[in-house]
Amino acid sequence: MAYISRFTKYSIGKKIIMGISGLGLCVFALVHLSGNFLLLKGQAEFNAYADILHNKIPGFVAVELGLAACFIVHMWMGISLAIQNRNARPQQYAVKKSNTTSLGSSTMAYTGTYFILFLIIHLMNIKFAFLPKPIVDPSIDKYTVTAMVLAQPAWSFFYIISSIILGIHLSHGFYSAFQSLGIAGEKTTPKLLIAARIYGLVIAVGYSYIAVSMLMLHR
Amino acid sequence: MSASTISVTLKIWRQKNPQDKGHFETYPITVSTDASFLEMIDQLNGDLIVQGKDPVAFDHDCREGICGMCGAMVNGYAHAHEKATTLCQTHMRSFKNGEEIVIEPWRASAFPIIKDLMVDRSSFDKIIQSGGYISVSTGSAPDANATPISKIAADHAFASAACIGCGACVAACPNASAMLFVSAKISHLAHLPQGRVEGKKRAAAMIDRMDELGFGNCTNHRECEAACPKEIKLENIALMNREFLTAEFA
Ligand code: HEM
Ligand code: SF4
Ligand code: FES
Repeated sequence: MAYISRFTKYSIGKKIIMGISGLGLCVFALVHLSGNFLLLKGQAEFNAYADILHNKIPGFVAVELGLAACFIVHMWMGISLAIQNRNARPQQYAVKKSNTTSLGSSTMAYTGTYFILFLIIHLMNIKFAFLPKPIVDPSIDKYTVTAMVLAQPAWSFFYIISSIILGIHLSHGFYSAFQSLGIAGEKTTPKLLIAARIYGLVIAVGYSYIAVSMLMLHR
Repeated sequence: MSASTISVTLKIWRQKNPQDKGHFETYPITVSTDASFLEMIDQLNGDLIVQGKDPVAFDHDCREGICGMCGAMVNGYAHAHEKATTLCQTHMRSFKNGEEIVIEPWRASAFPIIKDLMVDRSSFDKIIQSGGYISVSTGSAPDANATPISKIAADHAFASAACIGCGACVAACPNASAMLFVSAKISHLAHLPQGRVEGKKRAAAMIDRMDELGFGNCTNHRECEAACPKEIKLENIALMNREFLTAEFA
């Protein structure tokens, strides 16, 4: 514990933790997306997958806890770094132009914060089946719970918007993490910048596609 | 060279002292296109002095792009809009007739304004004092090839040693981060055998000092690299992070 707090005292220590947790979340975002495509295969297929995940893999709870830890440290470091950045320039320029700042890079703290709010609602929707209305029947399957949410245009739209916002966060984050971890070099940086945009696009389009398809199927 | 002139409107940040709130003042001026940006301010100051007014305070020394003293935000760009060029090496021919030119000091809490366009950059000196040097004895001038250094390492060290400590990276960074400067200083020593000895200790100490002084944190916007008059590479920051990691885990 003392070791961690010494490490996170440094700006670079915080950045490295941000990068590791961010990449962990990036892996999760891809795995989660590929699993969710089973929603489009059908009810039985998706439920079988959900069953394997939660009941057949020993120690899956540990994976879930690790994921939660990634979210918490990522958010915590992110907020702490963002506050220091605010204080580092109390008076703004009257005129400031940018050469390289992108939509993703300039909105990281906003898209990140939005995502936390999304995550809470998402868990209420699917994991706890509490929204849009509480479901008491314990025998209800995950496919039905998901379909009930995405069958409503307003909810489907909310998922599409959220996918795009996450895609924007990742269109910078995926590159940024490699630079923070010291992996980027003069030759790799241009490739990583392109890879991050592609990755962000895959996430935004992939999750949106599922939301649109489920709406069409169950409307 | 043709001695043509342009007329521009300057909007300059005037601030009497660190406590003053500061404000913009507008000055129309007609100036030779062959004048450097600083010569243009000299001309304005000459006029202001004749009128019994306070001249605009600004930092400068070599006026040949090597000392790192000059610098201001010009129309939103650190050291004006030209790539890889200090403000003293920027010329009025790169501006348009009739243009409005907004001139502001570097803005960062670690660079408090002294007066007008002049900021206190001694925080950079404090970072260097915390580890940007070699304390091992390297002897007197040795034979040039006595210590083998690869061409690649020498080139990297030289490229990062080109940093003149002007502070444009901090000024251009949306987070007022000093990481490009600090990484250049860490990098130019880290590539050389003499600098390697204290490499890890140095990185941790300089980063610690940089944080204490209230600079922001890099979020990899890459504005510093684009603004740097000496084209210091962003990859130095990746190297600095590696040095920090190995210092912490080794
Ligand atoms: C929990 C809500 C989130 C918040 C508040 C948040 C906030 C932030 C902030 C402020 C940054 C710093 C900007 C930078 O360093 O460039 C960042 C970077 C990053 N985020 Fe997030 N984020 C969140 C969720 C996510 C998710 C879900 C993912 C992946 C699926 C992710 C991946 C990344 C990556 C890879 C980085 C780059 C890290 C680095 O620069 O080293 N973030 N995030
Ligand atoms: S890295 Fe470039 S912009 Fe920053 S202080 Fe050095 S020379 Fe100036
Ligand atoms: S005055 Fe020396 S670099 Fe501009």
